Amino acid sequence: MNPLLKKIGEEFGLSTLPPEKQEELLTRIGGIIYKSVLIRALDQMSESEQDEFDKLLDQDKDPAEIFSFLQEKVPTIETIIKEESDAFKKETMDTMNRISEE
Amino acid sequence: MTVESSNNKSREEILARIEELNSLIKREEDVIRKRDSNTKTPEMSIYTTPKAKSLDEQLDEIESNARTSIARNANEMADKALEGNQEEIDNATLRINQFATIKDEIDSLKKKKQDFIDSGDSFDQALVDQIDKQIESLESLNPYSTKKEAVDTQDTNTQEEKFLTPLQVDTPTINESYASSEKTLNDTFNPREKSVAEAYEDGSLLQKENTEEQEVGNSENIKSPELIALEEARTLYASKQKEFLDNKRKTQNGINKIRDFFGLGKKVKEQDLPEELLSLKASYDQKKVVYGKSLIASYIEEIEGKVRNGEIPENQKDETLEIFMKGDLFDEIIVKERESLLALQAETLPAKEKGILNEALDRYLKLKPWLRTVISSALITGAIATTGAFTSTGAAGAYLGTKIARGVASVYAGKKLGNAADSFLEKATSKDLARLDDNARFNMIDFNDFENALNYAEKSYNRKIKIEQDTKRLRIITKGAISLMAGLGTSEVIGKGILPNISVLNETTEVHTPSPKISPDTPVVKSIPADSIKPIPDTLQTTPPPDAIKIGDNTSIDRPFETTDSIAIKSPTIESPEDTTLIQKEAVTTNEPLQPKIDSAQTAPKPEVQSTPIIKPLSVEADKLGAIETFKDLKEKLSASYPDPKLAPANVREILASDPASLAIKYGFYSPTQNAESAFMQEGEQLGFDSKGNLYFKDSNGTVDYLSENKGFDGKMIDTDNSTMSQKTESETLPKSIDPNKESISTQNQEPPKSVDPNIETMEQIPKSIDPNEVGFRQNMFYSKDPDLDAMTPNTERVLNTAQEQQTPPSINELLKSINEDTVHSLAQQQINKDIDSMFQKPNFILGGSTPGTKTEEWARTLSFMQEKKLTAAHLFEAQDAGMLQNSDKGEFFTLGEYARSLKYETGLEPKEGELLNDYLIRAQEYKIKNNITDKEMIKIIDEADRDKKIKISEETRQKIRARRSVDNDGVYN
Repeated sequence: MNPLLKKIGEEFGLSTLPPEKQEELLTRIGGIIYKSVLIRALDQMSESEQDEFDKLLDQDKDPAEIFSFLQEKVPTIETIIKEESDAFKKETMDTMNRISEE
Repeated sequence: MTVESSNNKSREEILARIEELNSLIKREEDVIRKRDSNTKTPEMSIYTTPKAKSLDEQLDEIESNARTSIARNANEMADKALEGNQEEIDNATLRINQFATIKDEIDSLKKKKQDFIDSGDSFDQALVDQIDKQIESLESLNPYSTKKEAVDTQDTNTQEEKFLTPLQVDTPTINESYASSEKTLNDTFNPREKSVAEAYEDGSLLQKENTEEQEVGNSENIKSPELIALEEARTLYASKQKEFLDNKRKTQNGINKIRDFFGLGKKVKEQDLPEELLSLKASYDQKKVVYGKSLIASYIEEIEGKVRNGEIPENQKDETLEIFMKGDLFDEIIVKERESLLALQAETLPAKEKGILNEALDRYLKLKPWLRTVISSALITGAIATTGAFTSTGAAGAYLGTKIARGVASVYAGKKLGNAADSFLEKATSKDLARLDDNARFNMIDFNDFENALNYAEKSYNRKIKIEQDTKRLRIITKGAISLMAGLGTSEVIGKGILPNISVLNETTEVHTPSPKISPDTPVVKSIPADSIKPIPDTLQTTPPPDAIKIGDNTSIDRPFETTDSIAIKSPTIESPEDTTLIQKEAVTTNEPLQPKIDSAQTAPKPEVQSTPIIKPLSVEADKLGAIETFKDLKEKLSASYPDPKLAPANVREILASDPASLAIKYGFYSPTQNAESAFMQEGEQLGFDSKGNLYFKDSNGTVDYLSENKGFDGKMIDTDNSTMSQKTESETLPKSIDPNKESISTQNQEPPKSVDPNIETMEQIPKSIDPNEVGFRQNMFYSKDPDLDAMTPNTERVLNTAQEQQTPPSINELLKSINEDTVHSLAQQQINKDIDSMFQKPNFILGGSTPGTKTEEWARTLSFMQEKKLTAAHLFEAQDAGMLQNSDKGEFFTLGEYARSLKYETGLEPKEGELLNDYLIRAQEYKIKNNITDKEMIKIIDEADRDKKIKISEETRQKIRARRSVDNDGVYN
């Protein structure tokens, strides 16, 4: 296994799953956080910035450009990502802890 | 008249006809040329071919031109058609897949319904009705349902007829661009879906979710009370949440609307939320827990049933449950629930934002899998936030980029090796595949930045795919073992610190410090995560010689195989630059690097900094126009980054204040008085400042040299006038404080450079005669452009470009032979401790895996038993053969036995008479190290055992072996 999945495995306990399942869950969790981040980021953009972002997406720009745009227009984007990432982990921890309780 | 003469006549007639046509065309051409000198068409040129051509030649030419024209037109048309229809193709593919999935579900439900009915009069009509409703709801999700209603109204009555097949629908209904491979992700991100609000209003969302959940959560396709309660709680919570946000919108203006709820700064704290909303959230959370518990209870029943039926051994119950909790339960309770709730939250957005959100998610899902993995990982770990993984510049970015890229590279290298291992390709292709596979195991640290690494990974991957297509090897190879080996990637023996001459480069290393010396007595820290390694202080003591296991010593309970010297590894001294190069190449593949004692005298020069300097790591690429231009570029970038130079570190200020030409001279890139006056630099090489404010130059091999007044560029210098290139020698050390305008500098260096490599002129990228005027170079740098993929592989073939690196590196076996006994012994102990640590560390049932640094109580008991009873290896194996080894609360003897047995099979070593078990384990590990037995060998042994049936390896043993191997791979005992 690679360090990447190891890291995720440590965080979410996926390491015993088949690699395909791990990758699927990885993508879905990434999608969840991405969506959570975007919901917040979009709300911090002005109308014109949203239009600009929309155009950027239409042009199928690479992720680096999209992220650069977000960094520029949403100064707190990095904090948002961190918060959403942490929030997801916390919820996971809380819920799984409670489920595991006798 | 014979046939032959007839043919000749025909040929003559045709030739005459062609002549006539040519004449006509020529006349026409003359007319046209007079009218428009530029109107000659390709077709005309066909007929103006020289008369000397034979008929056959002319006919061939005509045919060839016709074919070319047809092919060109066809390609253009195909491209155009494909371009225009790609979206349509994607949409159609998706719809067909969706249709197939839904149809399967409906068929399954119908069968279930029929089974109920066939069961007799006692069947539950309510259940049948519920199935009917589910079928109906699934039909509503039929991607061809727009036409369905129209057809319904015409002549269909039954459900079977209402459910249209793809062939019954000739036009797409909705603009849907998901790739078919994303089917599993559609449930949340499909932009084509009805809005959640709409779906909830008509109930279809609830029904759809039920279907999804039942796939995992309820094999009977019937909702449990817990699931129904959860759905209700979720709906209610989402509904109130939306209501709350709608109210806030009404009372607040513009951009502050939802931000107060979701956003930063003003993010609403939980206690500020309405009581009712909080209560609903708590209820929803509770329902999740209840539903989760119910799933566990159901699964336990299922396991018990399987145990009774003999499908699962009694001792695997816990393991089976654990896998369920980590997999399906996690998916059901965490991932799916979050997806569902998020879909509802997205509905609170205004239409425009919702559209953008869907578009963005669509793009995300359509990313290439490896890239999506990178981004997902960065998001999940929050790494983007702290490192700027996408931005690809700066130390922090490189840090995370390294980790991620390395992981991704490993993933895909694994897949590639899997393919290669099972392929019987043509020789040339195999060679290319092997090359790609080698290259794919790149490390981010080899690249200039994250972006380059990604580009490389993509190109490498695409080329691999192309080769596979070319060789018609498209099927997916699932040889897990081989792929797993490749997954090791960075953890092969050579990179694990088992070999001597290995330096320390951990994943956090952005640039290499100048070759630290490792003394023979350098102590080595064991079991330290690669990303947490810090330089060991000089004060770290060397340790006494190996000793026997300290039985009875409390500390030996935790580390039974660790003697007091177990962390001492004697590594040979690195003396030559060649060693260092080799080390760097190998060390970047190291997961668990050894840590040398850093010779502080050779560490990077520490620039003098102001009291509060702001250090901004940045770099520029080597400028095609020369080193002076490169310094100019650097100055410009520094100027932009340090609007206030006073806040810059001292050496940054110096760059800002100095003339680029002087800087090029000062740092050894340009020696105007030398024969070899210009630095030999290549595209992609970098000049910049690291996070500590040190000026460095990073060459194409990834080697970083720190530059100072006393130590300038020490790479190759080239004579752009006389075509001699030299490896700069020590005697060519740059003079201090060079004034480029003074002729007196470096007069002592006028003699021809030493160490001229006779092979250098054979290097094709180094022309023998360089005319700076022709190639646009200035006489301060030779610039080698290498645009191919190879140029992106700093640690592969190009590594051998320099003469000093063309020495054949020692083989693994040669290097292994140079390890002394003490080192082997220490390494063996380390490996055993690592294995034991992994096997017996406490499992983490919440997050999965196990918790490093912890030990189970069972292990403590196992160890106590071993020590008290002086357990010999022979006794263990005897008990094992008799099936007497079991895991119980008295100890985990089965696991221990399996571990010992795996070593026995790997090494073929039999226990000696009276040999204690721990001695045997150490001896076996030593044997493995000395004989370079890797997991790959183990796989081979297993495979051979399968074939020959000479060795019987139980499935349990295999599992344990895999588990132990997984320790090496991901650090977790699975």
